[in-house]
Amino acid sequence: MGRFYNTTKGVIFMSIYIVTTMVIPYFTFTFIKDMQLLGVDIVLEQQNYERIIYWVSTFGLLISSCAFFNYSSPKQSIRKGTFALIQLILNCLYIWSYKFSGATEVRFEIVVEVVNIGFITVNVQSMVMLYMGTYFLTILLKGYDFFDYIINRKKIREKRYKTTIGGKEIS
Amino acid sequence: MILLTVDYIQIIADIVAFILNSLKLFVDPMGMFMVNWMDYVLQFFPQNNLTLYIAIFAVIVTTGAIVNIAWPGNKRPGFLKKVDEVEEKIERKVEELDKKVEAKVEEKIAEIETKVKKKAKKAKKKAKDLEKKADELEERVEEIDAKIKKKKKKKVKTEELEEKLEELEEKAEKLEDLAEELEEDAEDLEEEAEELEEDVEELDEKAEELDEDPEELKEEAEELEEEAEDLEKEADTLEEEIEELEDDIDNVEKELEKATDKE
Repeated sequence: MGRFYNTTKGVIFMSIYIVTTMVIPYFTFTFIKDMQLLGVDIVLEQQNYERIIYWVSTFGLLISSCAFFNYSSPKQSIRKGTFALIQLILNCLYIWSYKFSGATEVRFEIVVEVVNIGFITVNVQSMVMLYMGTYFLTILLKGYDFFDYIINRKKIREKRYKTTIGGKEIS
Repeated sequence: MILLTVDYIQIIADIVAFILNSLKLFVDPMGMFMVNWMDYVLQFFPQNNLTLYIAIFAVIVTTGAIVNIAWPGNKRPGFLKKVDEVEEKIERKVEELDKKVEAKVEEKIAEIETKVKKKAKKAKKKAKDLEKKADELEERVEEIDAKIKKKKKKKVKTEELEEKLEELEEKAEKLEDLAEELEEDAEDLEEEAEELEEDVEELDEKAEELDEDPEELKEEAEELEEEAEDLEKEADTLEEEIEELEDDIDNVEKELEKATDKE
């Protein structure tokens, strides 16, 4: 694989992660902030809106940069394994950031003609916990890959360069 | 309407809650572990400082770009370069060996071809000699066959000759007997002739004495003389026949001796 191919691959994946981790959440929370449902204003009681956007941006940036490094690295290289693991951990923190920033417990206030008649609270903490559990398993997998890259580095390199002696592959 | 939407939301919430509760036992402990370490780690993350994160982003992206452009994974690592060198050396040696082997093989092929040609020539010569020998042997065999046939014939001939000999011997014996008889007869005739001559003389004397029919007496004497001559001639012919028979017997005996010598 050439350097141009690797770099373009990294740029493409970085842009995908920027869109999924920063742009979409930003627009979602901005849309929820002042939502109108069937003529009734449902105002997001989000005192820490700016805080959510901040954490989404910070972790989005870190995840996107790691994605660039990860996807522009050669296959089965240690640097790819390292940055893939870092990216996964950052993903976990990114998801957790929704919880501690208050995004997992959204409270909607129902306002009819300037009169507040009640509120709806959506608590997605359990969902986040479930998501964390699955992330734990993926972290284990990535960790295994990382150690596999380190331990079998020589074999992987030999396979990549297909070293042969007298027409026979070295195993 | 709002109440209806709330009902729908309640149904969805119930479904989600059921799924979460069913998976809670397995996933919750893992989630708790994750929450604990993340809570600990997040303490070190600076808050209200987005520029720092932007700087980190820029640093990671630039380093990633530099590192992955400088080392895109195309170049062979050091330990593999040595392997390449060794491989090149081995290939060179293999090529050299191939060339040497080819040269040797060609030389050997040439030697073998010359040897084969020589051997072929020798074999041809031998074949010709053998053919000649075979022809000679065939001729010999034919000769032997002929000899055997001749011998057989000779045997037959000898047998025939022996038979003939026996016959001839018998004939010779008979002839001898006859000759003896003839000799005896000849002697008798001679005696008779002498007696006749004596008679003739006597008769001459008597004729002279008697002077009676001298001519008749002469005629009788002449007749008697003629008879005596005929008997002598017969005796001569018999003697010649006996001599011829004796010659034949000698020849047969010689042939027999030769045949016995050859055998």
